[in-house]
Amino acid sequence: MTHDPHDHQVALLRRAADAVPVGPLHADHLLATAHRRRRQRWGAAAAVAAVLVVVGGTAAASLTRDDAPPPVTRPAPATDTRLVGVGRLAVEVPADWPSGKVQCTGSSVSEPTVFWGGERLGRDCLITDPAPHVAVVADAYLTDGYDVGNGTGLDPVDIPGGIVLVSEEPSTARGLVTMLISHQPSGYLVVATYSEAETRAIVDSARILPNDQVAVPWTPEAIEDAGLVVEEVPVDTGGQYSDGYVLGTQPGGGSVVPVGSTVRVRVARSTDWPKVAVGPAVSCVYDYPDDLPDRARAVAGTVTNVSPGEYDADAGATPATVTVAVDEWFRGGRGQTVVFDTFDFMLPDDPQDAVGVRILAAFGPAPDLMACGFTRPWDEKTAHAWRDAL
Amino acid sequence: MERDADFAAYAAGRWTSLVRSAVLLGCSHADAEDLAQATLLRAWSSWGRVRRADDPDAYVYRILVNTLSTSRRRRWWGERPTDRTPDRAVDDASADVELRDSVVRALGGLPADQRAVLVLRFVADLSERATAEALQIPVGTVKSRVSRALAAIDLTELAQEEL
Repeated sequence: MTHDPHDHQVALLRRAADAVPVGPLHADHLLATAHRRRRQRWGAAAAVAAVLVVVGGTAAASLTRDDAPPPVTRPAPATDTRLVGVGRLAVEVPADWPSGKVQCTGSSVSEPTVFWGGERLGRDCLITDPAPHVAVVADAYLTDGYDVGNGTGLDPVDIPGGIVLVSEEPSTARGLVTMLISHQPSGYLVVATYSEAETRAIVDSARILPNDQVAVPWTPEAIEDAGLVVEEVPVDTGGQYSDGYVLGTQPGGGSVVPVGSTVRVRVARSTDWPKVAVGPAVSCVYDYPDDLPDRARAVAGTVTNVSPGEYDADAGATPATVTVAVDEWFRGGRGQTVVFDTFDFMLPDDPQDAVGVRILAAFGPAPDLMACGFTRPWDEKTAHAWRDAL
Repeated sequence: MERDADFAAYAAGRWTSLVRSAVLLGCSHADAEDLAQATLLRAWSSWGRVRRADDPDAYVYRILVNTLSTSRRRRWWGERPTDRTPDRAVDDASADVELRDSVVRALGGLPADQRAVLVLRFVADLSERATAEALQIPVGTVKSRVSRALAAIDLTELAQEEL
């Protein structure tokens, strides 16, 4: 009979474990704690099933819950960070991360930013490599049991001022390490950076704001509901944005401000095709017309065909191709037609309404229809300006 | 409530092992009890998934390991005041204390992954398969880590004293 030389070490391990004194488990106390936490977190309707709960009202409208956790004091963030968040959930991000610096909602983020995830969270314009960001989702929160997509769920975690749910483990995709942090009723944040350490550092900075502070929401209605004062600033954007489209706010969306502060909201006042309603408070990566000379190609022509494809769940949108009969190349192209790749949200509500419309399109190097003024209805004045600029 | 009764029975049966595993994973006694409670609270909140798991123990010890790992990364996880003094049901005999402390120190000299595999296998008494599931590594890796850990762990003096 062989004797494993390690048997004695294993026996010592077990003896050492047996030498650890352990008091009795107070199961009743444990169960009471479990039930109390559940009530605090989700209320009586909380479910273990993986669900995304869409909040009917706004985050701020629910902030007066009787059982809301008391605020706690916490040192102010370091000078090189700023507080951003949703409702009363806030995290620290680098101070040079602006609000709304995205061309599209979703993960098409070309430079670090804080942006509104909203209903179109996950929409992906597929035009850039994603950059670090915090996506703010105000109209939903996540419940226990939510599958973050990598086989793990969410952990309840005590943070200063309350309890939140945090990704058990980060997920990695397209070079970004992503974690979720959710607070009822505020909403949730999607934190993505290039490293697990940085993502965790942002998540670890989470706190529940005192009652007299709130994160700036992204729509005028929500801003008012949050107890802030809206100062609307109409901006004539020509055909770049649909009427009523929120161009941005000052302070930027997600910024933490005292309740009662005034928020200036820049609202587009125009209607023309293409209606690029990609979401509220989305700034453009490239500014028109300043960045027009940087486009590799530019063309004037008439849309002859629009062909929608199959819905792309990853992008959260339906891709389409748009064929344009070329009238004039301003830069970088040749040929009598050009076929653009785009998504449904760059097109009129009925995409076929685009057929026959004469447009100007600056783009490149890839043949993507660009938003933010680089695709616009044709007019002679603008065409002349493009000839000079390109 | 059937769920609570089921959970309570399970918790009572695993409590000692969870606390002891936590101690040998490097927690102080107070932190070990906190960790075991946190583990059980999370298990309760996911009780359906625990019960549906191929091996509920593997699931729960995975929670233990993840919670410990996460708590060490989070700044806000630290001492928490309590109005309840942990009970001490067993006298802390000095020889046992010496043995326990020596083993904890020896385990502390191992890489975290080797330490975890030893504790789950021989303190929590999980099977190789359950250990693999708890740590989300292949069974072969469990075997190799156990082998390497036992070869590396320095219990020579203890072994000689025991002989």
